[in-house]
Amino acid sequence: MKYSHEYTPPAPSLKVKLTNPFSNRSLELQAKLDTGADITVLPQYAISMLKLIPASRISITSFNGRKFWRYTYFVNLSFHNFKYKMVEVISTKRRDILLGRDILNKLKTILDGKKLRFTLHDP
Amino acid sequence: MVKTTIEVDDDLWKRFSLLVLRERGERKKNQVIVELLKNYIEQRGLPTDPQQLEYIMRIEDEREAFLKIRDKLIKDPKYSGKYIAIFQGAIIGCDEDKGRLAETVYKKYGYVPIYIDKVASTERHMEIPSPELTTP
Repeated sequence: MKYSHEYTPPAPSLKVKLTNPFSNRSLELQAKLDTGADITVLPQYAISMLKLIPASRISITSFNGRKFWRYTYFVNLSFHNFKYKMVEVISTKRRDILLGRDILNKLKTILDGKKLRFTLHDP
Repeated sequence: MVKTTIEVDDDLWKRFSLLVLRERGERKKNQVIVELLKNYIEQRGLPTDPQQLEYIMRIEDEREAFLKIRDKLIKDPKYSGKYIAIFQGAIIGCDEDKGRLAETVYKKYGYVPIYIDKVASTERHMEIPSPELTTP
């Protein structure tokens, strides 16, 4: 897969389908691979659109060391041939998804920054 | 609508008024204050959607019930280190896998606000170091 030039510098990103686990509501959004993120982050508007229900509250440390809290939600995620059920995610005000290590650690990811390409496998 | 009165430092108010006048024009201070309040709430993860707000209030009630019994649960090997689900103030499930627990309790009790957390002495903590993440 190619890096997306919608980011500067280009970033590994792909379309991810989000589904409410208990209804047929779904949404497809661009997701950036983020190996620094402990947990996957959804845009806030996706929570309302999918009518997800909060399940917990966790504390988050941001890049500048500031701590804040966020509600968590369980959602089904799928991209290419990969499907993940009941994934706990948080939300924030942003336009795309950050695909965190909670998902990336289930896959073998090869980033070729030189060629601006990446591959995902589940060996 | 709620009407409220606040005390603000004279100098702070003068500078705020000047900025609003310069950027928005006359009689726009109330509008800017409402925007600031909305942004403050949104940045802290409280959605403006009334349905989401209702869910969050119910989750907070369940969380309070969890915090009341947490110390007792930590000492109980049946629960310690595992995820538990709280609904209407009572424990309705326990599992080592949070996703499996969520699926089980939602299937049994319906897709309603059920609090799920780990039985541990500290709250769950995550790092999101991406610089573009909106933070308070």
